[in-house]
Amino acid sequence: MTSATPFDAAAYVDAAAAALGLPLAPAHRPGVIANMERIAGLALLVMELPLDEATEPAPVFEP
Amino acid sequence: MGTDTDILGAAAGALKIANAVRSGRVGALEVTEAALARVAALDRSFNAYTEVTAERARSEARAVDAARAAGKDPGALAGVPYAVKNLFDIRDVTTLAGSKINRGRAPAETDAFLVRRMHEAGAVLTGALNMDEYAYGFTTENTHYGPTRNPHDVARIAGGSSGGSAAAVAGGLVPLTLGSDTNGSIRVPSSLCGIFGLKPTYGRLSRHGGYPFVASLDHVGPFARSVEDLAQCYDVLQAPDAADPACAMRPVEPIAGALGAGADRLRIAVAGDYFERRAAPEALAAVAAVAKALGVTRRVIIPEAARARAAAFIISAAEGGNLHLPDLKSRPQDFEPLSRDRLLAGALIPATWVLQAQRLRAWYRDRIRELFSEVDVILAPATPRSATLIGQETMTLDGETMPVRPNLGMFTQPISFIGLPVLAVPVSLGGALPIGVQIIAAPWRELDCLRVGKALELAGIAAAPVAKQAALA
Repeated sequence: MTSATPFDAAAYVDAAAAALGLPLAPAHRPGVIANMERIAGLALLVMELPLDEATEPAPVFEP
Repeated sequence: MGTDTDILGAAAGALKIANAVRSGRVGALEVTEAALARVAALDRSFNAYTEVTAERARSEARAVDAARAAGKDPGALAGVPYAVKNLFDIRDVTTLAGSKINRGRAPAETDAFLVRRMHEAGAVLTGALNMDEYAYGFTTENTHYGPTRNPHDVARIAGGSSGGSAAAVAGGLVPLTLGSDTNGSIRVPSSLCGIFGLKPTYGRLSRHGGYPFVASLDHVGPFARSVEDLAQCYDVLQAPDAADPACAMRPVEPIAGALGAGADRLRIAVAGDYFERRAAPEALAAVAAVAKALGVTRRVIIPEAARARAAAFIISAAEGGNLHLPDLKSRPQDFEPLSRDRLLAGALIPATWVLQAQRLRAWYRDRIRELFSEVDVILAPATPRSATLIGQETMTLDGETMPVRPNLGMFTQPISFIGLPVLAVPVSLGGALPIGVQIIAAPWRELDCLRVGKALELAGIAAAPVAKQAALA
């Protein structure tokens, strides 16, 4: 995601909700989109920090 | 009779009560009746309790008195009244977790692990406490059960999500409570209500029997009005528990007997950069007062704290959204309106953002481990400001106007993200509203946090008097 291709939160929310079978009431949809926009902004901070391939996700499963 | 009056009063501490009960100077039942009477008289103003378990309290108190009469040890917290955030299971009580949805569930069949620990130590459970729905909030403005009010100013929030836990202690209803902290939910209300709160190391205390929010980040811990009381309660709560998959199977490390070691030999620094920006004057003044009292001049930079907070936000929304997806699909109208849309969005977050956030967490943990080779304790504000008004939507910090509700946790979130132990200490600045400072230590070094807290108490910098409105009632 770069500034050249801005994240379209409304389109994403509609598509992802449909794919998950999560109905969004018309009264809730604007709030969900606003939250997704905020989360996308935070995701930019997370995604732009380079991490090497050896950095595994924090949770460790113990069989 | 002066002593008995003190022991039955709002300001009586847990250890003072336990000592009096253990020595037979006062009965546990007498202490319990006094606490129940305070709850009945004062909680109409605070709305800290969602359920008062009076019969259970009397029954536990009678058992303590009977044990003592029979010459048995009644426990380290004998006769101490306490209450728990309503996400902890209480036998025969429905675990609400602040929600309307869970009200339809069957009552819990057994107590949560920590409630069992308190029971075994002779403590007396007086009830369940208000919180943000499903612990997703920093204000305890609960639409279903009403806002919890700050005992220092009932027009203001108590903070959250463990708002009832903090208000019950600050208002002198009980000397001890339990709460949970995923992103700041022990430290934020401790700061705004002016009490001590301990968020132990991730994995230190068992969460079993507590309603979950974000398994990756959920912690549980105690609140009190003194460091000694907090330490004693924490020692009682410690025990490895295989039923909580995150609980570290470490031996118990009691700390209550070691608080007097002082802070002199600890290397302490103030967190700079991120933790100095977007903070109100009172938040910075509280950190400065603590640093001055401890003779701290050193400053450290916690690297990438803003990214850490962003990652914690994403993991929280995603895990919370996933946890509640069935209800979000079938009955979204029954959720707390203040957090429902965030949970709905959380359920839709792309997997790669969540996985990158978890990788960033491991990277960030390694950087902070390096930092702890240079220092033992880090000081940072607990909240960016003192308590806001109930219903207040925005606040302005450093000239930037932002929503109150997600931002009260801006300084706590990057710390709990990697599970560091933190003591929130209430700092006496002479103002009308309290505010707290985070005393942050390396993993498993809770004792370092509490040694500093004790030193600040002795220096007269940290104190948690019962709120005046409550003390006068």
